[in-house]
Amino acid sequence: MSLWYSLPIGAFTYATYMLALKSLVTGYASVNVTTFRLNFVLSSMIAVVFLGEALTTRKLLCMLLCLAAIAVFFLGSRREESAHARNTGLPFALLACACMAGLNTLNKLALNAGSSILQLVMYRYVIVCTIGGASLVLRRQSVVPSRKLLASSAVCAVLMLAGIILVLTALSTSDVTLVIPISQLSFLFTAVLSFLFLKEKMNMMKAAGIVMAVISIAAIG
Amino acid sequence: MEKLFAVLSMLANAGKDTVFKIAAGEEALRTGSGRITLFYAMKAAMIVLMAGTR
Repeated sequence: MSLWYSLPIGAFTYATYMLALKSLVTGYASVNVTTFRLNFVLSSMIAVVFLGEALTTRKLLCMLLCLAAIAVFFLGSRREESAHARNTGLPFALLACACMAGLNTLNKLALNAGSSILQLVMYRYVIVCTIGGASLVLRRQSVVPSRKLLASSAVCAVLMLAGIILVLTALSTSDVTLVIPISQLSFLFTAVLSFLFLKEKMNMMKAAGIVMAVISIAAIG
Repeated sequence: MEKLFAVLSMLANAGKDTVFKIAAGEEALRTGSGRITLFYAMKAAMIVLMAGTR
């Protein structure tokens, strides 16, 4: 059972990663990471429409606020004066957000069907590595990583694993409604780090979109 | 204490996204497949190592 669900889950994981990467190559981390992190709200919408979960007034308002934040980012991107400054990666961030929401829904369906968490995680890793490896072979690229690629992959893997362990530790003694919204607000710090270290410029539209996203995620929790 | 863990998790995610952006150059799309293969292989290796030390 876990293996059958892991096939689309692995494919969605690969697609999400590549789309997120494409969005960051051609866009701003402050806006595109925020857009990507809004998958939390999109997942709720899918759960309401397809899984029959209850639609409360609060959820509805959060979803509308989330859509408004994305609209503000799009408008802000169109207003950028030069083609270089324009955030052409935003559509890819939206697609990555949709793929991530699909991934969350598939995970939920798999768990509802009785799949094992450990098997889902490990099968997913195997499937993603297989797709990535096959892509490398088809493109005839070197399977030996550069030092930069090795270093960035190691740092990202350590940080992601630390994030998962910390959130699970917090969940073991605290409520989901407290822990998940706090952990999902990471895009706020990504925006701050982007302004500090990546020298991205802040404007009214970006600030308004980030504030709307913070309110929508904080409220849905 | 739980809030501290949640905040640390948020900071780890933010750090990961920022490193992701720093590493995302034009060549990243060309090497994207290698990147994700390595990334997930490393995560799997770390989980196996952690499981082995317990």
